[in-house]
Amino acid sequence: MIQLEKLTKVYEQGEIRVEALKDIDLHVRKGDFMAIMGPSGSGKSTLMNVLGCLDQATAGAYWIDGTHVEELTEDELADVRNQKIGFIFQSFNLLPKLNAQQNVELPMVYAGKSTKERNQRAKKALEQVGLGDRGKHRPSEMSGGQRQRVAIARALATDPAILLADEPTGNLDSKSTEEILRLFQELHHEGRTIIMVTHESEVAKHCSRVIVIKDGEIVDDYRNKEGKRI
Amino acid sequence: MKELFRIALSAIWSNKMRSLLTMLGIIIGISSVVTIVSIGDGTKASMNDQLSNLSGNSFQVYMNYNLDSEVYEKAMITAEDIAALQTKFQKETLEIAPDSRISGDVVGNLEQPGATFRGSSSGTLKMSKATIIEGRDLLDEERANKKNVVVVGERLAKDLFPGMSAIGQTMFLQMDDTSTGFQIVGVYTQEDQRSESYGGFISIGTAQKILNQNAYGSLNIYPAEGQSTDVLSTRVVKFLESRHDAEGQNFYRVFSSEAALATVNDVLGKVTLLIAAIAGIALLVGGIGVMNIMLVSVTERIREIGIRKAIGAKRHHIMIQFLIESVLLTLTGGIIGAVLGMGLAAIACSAMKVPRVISTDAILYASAFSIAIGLFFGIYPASQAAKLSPIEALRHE
Repeated sequence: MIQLEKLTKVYEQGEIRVEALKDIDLHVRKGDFMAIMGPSGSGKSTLMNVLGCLDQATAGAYWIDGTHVEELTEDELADVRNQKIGFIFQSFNLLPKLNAQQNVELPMVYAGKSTKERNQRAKKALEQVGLGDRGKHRPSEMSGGQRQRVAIARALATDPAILLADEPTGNLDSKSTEEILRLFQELHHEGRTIIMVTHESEVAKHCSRVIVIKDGEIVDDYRNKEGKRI
Repeated sequence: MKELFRIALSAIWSNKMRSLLTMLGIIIGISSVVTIVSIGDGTKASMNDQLSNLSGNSFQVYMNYNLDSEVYEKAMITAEDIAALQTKFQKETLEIAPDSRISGDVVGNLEQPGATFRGSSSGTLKMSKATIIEGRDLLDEERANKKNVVVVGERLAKDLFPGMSAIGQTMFLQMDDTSTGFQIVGVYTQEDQRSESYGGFISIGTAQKILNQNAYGSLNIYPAEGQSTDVLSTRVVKFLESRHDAEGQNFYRVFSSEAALATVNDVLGKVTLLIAAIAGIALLVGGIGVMNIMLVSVTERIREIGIRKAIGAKRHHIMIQFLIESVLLTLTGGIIGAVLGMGLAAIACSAMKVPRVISTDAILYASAFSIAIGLFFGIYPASQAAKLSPIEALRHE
C-alpha cells in the first residue's frame, strides 16, 4: 500500500541545514492502523506531510498504491491527494462558509463528480460518522468532536486508499477523543488503512501498529496484539 | 464550473461593502466612457441631420472673395456661363441655378421683419425636401413671364395671416425704399422644421428682375442620381475657369454639404475619442483597484486555498475561482456603469437638445470590455493564489 525507501527531507535556511527525516524505510500494508509517535520536533509531522503529498521529500522514493510519487507533476499530485488520500487535520480545516454537507462534497467537486453523486455520497459519509442529520449546519454551529467527524466524512468522500490523520484528537476533550478513536477503529475493522500521528501513548494504544520517530529516524516499530477496544 | 461560480459569488457577497467600492471604479469608468461616446454620437447625428437638410446632396460653386475687385468683376458667373454649364452638364445635373436670395421685411395682415426668398426653378422645392401643404407650386408659365407670385413657408404664412388661409392673399416685400407685391399661390412645409428658412420661393427670373442682376457670385448645382459630387464639382470649376481664362488660378471654390459633413464627422470623432480616452484612464484606475482588492482577497484566503489544495484542488481550479470572482466584479460594475452612462447621456442629450442615439451595442461593448478588464487585472492575483504550495498555505494563520 505504502512503501518508503531511504526517504530524506532536508530543510535549508541560509547556513542552517536541518535533516527532518533521515533515510526512512517503511512499509505500510493494506488494513494497517498505524500510529506514528514521537516528541515534538522529531519529524513525525514532516513525515505525515510527505505521506499526504502536501510536501515533497528531498531524496528517496515513495510509492502509494502503486504510484511513484516523485515522478508526478503538481496536478497529478493534486489527483493523488484527491483520490488516494483522505487527510484529517488537528485543526479540522473545514471551510467556515460552507455547511457540513458542502464541506464533505468539496473533494468530489474537484474530482468532477455530478451533483447527484456528490449529494448521495456526502449524505452517506455523514451518516457513517453519525452526523446524518447535521448536513445543513455550518462548522461554527458544531462542537469540536462534530467538526472532526465532518472532516473524517470529507476524507472518506472519495473513498481513498488511505486515511492520514495528523493529531486528530489534539484539539478535543476526552469524551470527543473517545468518539473519534472509536470511529477510527470502526473504519479499521471495515478494512481501511489508517495512519495517525499522535504524541499520546494512550491514543496510540488503540492502534494495531506503532512506530516511534526520534530526530528524523524510526527508532521503534511494534505491533499491539489487539488494539485496545474502547 | 457551477460550483466555482457559487464560491466566487459567495466571496463577493460576504464582502458587500468592499465589493461595491471596488466596482465603483469600474462603474465610474464605464459610465463616463458610455456617456461621452453617446453624447458624441448624438451631436454627430444632429450635425449630420442639419447639414444634409441644408442642401441635400447639392453643392455650391462660389467666387473666391479674396480676389481684387477688378479680377472679381471679370470672373463673375454670367447668364451665358450658366446656359453653357446647363448644356454641357445636362445629363449629370438636375439643376444648375444661380443662388439668388432677396431679404427684407414682409407685410401681409401683419408685418414680419427679416424673411428670405430664394429664386427657384421647377425642381427646387422637391430638392429642398419641401412639400406643398396648401395651394400649389409656381407654374412654368409664371416662371417664364417672371410673375410676382410666391410660395411661402408654413411659419411665415401663419405669421402674416394668422387664423386664415394665406392662399390668394397679397404680401408686400419691402427692401430699401421699394415695396413689391406678391400673390401667394402655395404654402409649403419642410421635412426638418429647424432648417426651414423663414421665407419662401419665387421664380429665378423674378428674383433676377428685382435684383437687376446679370452676373452672380455663386451657383447651386444639384447632381443627378448617382453622380459623384467630388468629380462633378471639379469638372464644373474647370469649365468655368476655361471660360474666364483662369485655369488653375483658384477663382472658384466649392462648398458641398457632403465634404462639410466629412470634416465635421472627422473632427467630432477625434474629439470624442480624445475625451473617451481620458475617461478610459478612470477605467484603468478602476482596474488597478480590482487587482489590489483581489490581491488582498488572496492574502486573506491563503488558508482556504491551502485546504482546497490539500483535498485535491488543482492549480486551474484555484485560478478559475479567483478569475471568476474578479470578472464577476468588473462585469457587474460594467453593466451598472453602462446603464448609468446611458441614463446620464439621455439627460445630457436632452439638455443639449441633440437627438439621443440609443446604442444597444454600448452594453455589449461595456460588458465585453469589463470582462477583459476582469481577466487582465485578475490574472496576476489569481496566479499568485494558484501558485501557493499546499503546505505553506496550510501553515498560514
